[in-house]
Amino acid sequence: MDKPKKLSREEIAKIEIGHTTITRTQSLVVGGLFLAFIALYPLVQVAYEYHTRAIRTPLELQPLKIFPLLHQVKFTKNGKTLPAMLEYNRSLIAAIKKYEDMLEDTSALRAECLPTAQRFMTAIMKSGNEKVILGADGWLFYASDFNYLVNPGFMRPERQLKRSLSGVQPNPVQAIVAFGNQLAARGIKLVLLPVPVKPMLYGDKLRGDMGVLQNCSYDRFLVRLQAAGVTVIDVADKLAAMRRRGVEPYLKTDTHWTPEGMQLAAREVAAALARPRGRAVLRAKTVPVTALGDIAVMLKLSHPKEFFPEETVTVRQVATAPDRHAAILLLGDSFTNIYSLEAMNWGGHGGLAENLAY
Amino acid sequence: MVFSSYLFLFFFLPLALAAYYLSPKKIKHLTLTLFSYAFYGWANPSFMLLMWFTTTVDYTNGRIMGRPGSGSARRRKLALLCSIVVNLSVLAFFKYFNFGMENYNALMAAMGIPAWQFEGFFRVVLPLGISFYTFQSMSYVVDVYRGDAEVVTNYIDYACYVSMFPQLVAGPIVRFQDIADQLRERSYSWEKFARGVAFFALGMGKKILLANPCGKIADVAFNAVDLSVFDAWYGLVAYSFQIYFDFSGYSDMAIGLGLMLGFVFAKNFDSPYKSRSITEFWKRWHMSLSTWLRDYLYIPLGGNRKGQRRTYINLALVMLLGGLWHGASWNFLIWGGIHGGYLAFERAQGKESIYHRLPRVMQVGLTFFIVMIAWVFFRADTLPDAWRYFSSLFGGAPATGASSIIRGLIYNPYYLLHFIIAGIVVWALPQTWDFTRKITWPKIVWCILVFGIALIALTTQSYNPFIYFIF
Repeated sequence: MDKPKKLSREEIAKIEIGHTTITRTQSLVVGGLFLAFIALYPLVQVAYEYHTRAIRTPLELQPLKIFPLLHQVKFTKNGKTLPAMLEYNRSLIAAIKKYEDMLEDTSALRAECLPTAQRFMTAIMKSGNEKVILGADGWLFYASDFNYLVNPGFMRPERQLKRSLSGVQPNPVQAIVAFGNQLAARGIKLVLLPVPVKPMLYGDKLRGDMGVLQNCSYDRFLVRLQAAGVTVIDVADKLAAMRRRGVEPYLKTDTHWTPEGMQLAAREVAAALARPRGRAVLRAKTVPVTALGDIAVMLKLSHPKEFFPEETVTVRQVATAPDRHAAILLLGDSFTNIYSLEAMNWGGHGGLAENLAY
Repeated sequence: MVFSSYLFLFFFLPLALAAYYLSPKKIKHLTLTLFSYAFYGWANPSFMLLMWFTTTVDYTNGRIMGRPGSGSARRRKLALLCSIVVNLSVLAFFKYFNFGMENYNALMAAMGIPAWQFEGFFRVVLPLGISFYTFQSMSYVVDVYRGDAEVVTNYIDYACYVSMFPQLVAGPIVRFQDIADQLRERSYSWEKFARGVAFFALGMGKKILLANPCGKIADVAFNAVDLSVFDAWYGLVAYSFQIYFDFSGYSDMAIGLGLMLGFVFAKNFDSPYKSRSITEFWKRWHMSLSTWLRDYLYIPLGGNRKGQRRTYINLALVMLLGGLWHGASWNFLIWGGIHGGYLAFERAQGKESIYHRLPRVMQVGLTFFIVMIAWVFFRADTLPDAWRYFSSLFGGAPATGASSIIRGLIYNPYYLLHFIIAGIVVWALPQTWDFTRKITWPKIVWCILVFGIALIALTTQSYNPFIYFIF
């Protein structure tokens, strides 16, 4: 007697599928509901856009923006064909990515569901989102700062290799030294103030260790910079000491430092630079400023203040203005701009530059 | 474009289904092929050309093999060889060029010959799904050569088979002989469609609600420099959950989409973490790949027909190459080697584990442990990272201050809850095939709930492709 032929996985699957126990009504309900949902949503999206964005013509609808985006991508042949084709392909990919991001960012589903979903995540699940990490006692942390600390060292060869793919100088020491040399050629001395990221000083709010935490490549970075003759002012220990004395160096729901933390940094820089005082007499006044931190805003809650109260800080505003003949040129990021630029919502004229001058 | 994205769910899929079902039977495959190419080209338009190229080469070689006449045996052999060489060359170039250059440079540096290094060599971009569709397409030519499949005389039918968007970028690997009859004739019914919807909904739930949160835990753990023992094991178990739900979720969605289009794809995962041995694990994990390797590599190498020693070698070699298929790195080779070595070892024990006399729960636990250990190599970015992770797993590395803060993230209620639910789903709940065999009103409500919650959760997550997209 022949052995029964062993059924293949596909044959088993076909038999299996053909024996689904489901009534006709149930099939129609399931299939119909699904089709209705995925087919009607685009109409919901259209209605939502007409309602919220004052659309005048259908071509302004986000789903249809793929056409003008693709139309903008042109094939231009300046020289060899293959590089031109590769460039055209890259431009197409960029346009497609832009379209897909736009679609997601402006979707009715996201607009309607995200605040509620995030509210649930924050209130019940004690979880932030991809940009925000909830710490203890209402402290918020920026995910990028968190990643700086926990990720492998930024000086590691494979990290540098990854950065090199973006076309930048992947070695931060080389980049800084090169910049310093260019400045030195113009008679300008480079002084570096690496600003600590908030989790470095608030590990305990993330169930971690207290003290100054640091990326494992930092010491090597520091040693190499100093060996190359770059002056580095490291304020991390001083800011940690400030915290131990009961004065918070960083804002609770913002990525940046408090006015006290910033002023400490200004004092340290001033002491390190040891420049003679200018003749101008600068007037200062203290002003309270109340605002919600940028990390709280990143949570995209409809009522963030329900979870995170605004913070009030005292900003020392200094009556001074930029001087193109000044002996010090300050280049910085948002840590330099906070309390200086009104647009950051923490008041103006009281940032690092002003306090350094003061 | 991923299945769990607004673009796919609300624009591509409704358009594709509408166009497919409104197309007359004669051009259904053309419609499906065009949409599949659009789906594939969305990631990188130039990749469409590559897929079209390999499709055309294999289709042509299949036609050559089907031509009767004198010299047909030699011609068939040449056509087969051409297909294999072209497919493997394409795969080798796109997948292994960077790996080859890096290792060549490392070797030259180790030998002190920097002048022979290639600095700043151009880096090759890996086309999406190339490992899947080249294997799929190659299997057709081999099957035709062996006489296991008929020659396809319609180019569109063949192109449709290779490019079908449900299973194009991450499987299941579908062999032509298993789908040929469905390409000729397939049935459509609301029952089939409804089961497809259920598969799709549950698959999406697996991906968004289980794989993604577990993936976050794993990412944080594996990216951290030095971990405590507990954190390291937590991260490793989370990764084991992530890769399972990510891949099986995708497979479920692919099977569901196939059903919606009238195609039946076979099961790809059969509760692999309930296995009691590594041998059993490979009968349950990524079944379409393991059967492909068995039929196109293991058996041609001799299988178990050339003595015990050769059997063990074949097993180890197939798994080594299986590891390499996953990615161009020593880590994947080691991962494959671990599994190959263990398969050979169990083969020597009569296809049973060394612990087969223990209670079932212990067998499952020990098998899961072995699989997890191998996953360290699969997940770690580099070999040194893998060794460092092992060091953390077994207490060899003190947790540094910086790494201590990961607890503030990975142990929050959101991640803990999803981790626990993932464990329950793995070991205590039925798999999708079993769950959807009998669809009742409570199950329909459950599928709607899972789909709805997954959609809402999607609004809080940004782009997160499936793990197997990188293979």
